Amino acid sequence: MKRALIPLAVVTVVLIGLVPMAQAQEVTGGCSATVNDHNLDTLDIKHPLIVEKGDILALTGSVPASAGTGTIYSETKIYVEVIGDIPVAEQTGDGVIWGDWVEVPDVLTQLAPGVYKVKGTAEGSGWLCTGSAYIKIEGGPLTAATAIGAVAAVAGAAAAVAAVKPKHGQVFYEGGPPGSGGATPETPTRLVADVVTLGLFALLVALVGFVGPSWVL
Amino acid sequence: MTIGNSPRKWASGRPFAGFRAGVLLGLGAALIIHQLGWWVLDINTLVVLPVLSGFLLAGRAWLGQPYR
Repeated sequence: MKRALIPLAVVTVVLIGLVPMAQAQEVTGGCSATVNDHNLDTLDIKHPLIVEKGDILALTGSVPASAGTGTIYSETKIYVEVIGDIPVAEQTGDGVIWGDWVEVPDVLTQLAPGVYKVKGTAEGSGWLCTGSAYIKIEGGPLTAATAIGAVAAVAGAAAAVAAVKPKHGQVFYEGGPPGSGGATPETPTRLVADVVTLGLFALLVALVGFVGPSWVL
Repeated sequence: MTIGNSPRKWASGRPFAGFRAGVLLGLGAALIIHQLGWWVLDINTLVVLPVLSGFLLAGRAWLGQPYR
């Protein structure tokens, strides 16, 4: 049983190592886009754009060469990804290159502090570009979300331990119910089962959270 | 009279309570890891992870406690 834990641990470490690969972002379709002079490609999850309420963002963009010449109209839509996409801003422009100053939308500052993925589409006649980048909404060192998460995790772990115990009075063994002297709990075996469960939980976190965008949905 | 070790028996726990605990643990983990800046909050981390975590801990609760 203990040997089974080794490959489990190795797989977990490898999957966590895949984080930067799984969270990569890009601009497709031949457009380019910057925010505060940062190319969207550079704003990955480890280097997000830090935003606060009231910040003014300098946005620039260019349409793809395939858009042709003459008067080119483009429509850009920006969303923040939480559960589904929340619209953040819409921008129309004309010309090959456009730029604007935009205040951080209120909808962003109403979210819990932390890192979020922002996605955008820009389209015109016969062309479509998509892009994404990561932003970090600033909060304090200890946010309400951290406290809620910690309380939920501790309560969940305690409830999980309690749920493993047999129901009161359950007859499970010919020697009698727990505590009757007919049988004794095997603590080492339970510990192995708990460690395996913990390892599987870590694996689940790695798979769903980090590899998830291509693995689950 | 029993000679040698008696066979190990598992007394099942409460799978539904385990499921609820797993959902809570998954949500808590999702929030904490988001605050650490390691991932974003999306349908994977806020829905899929807690549900799968619920099934995992429901399974552990169903397995229960070993006795000998």
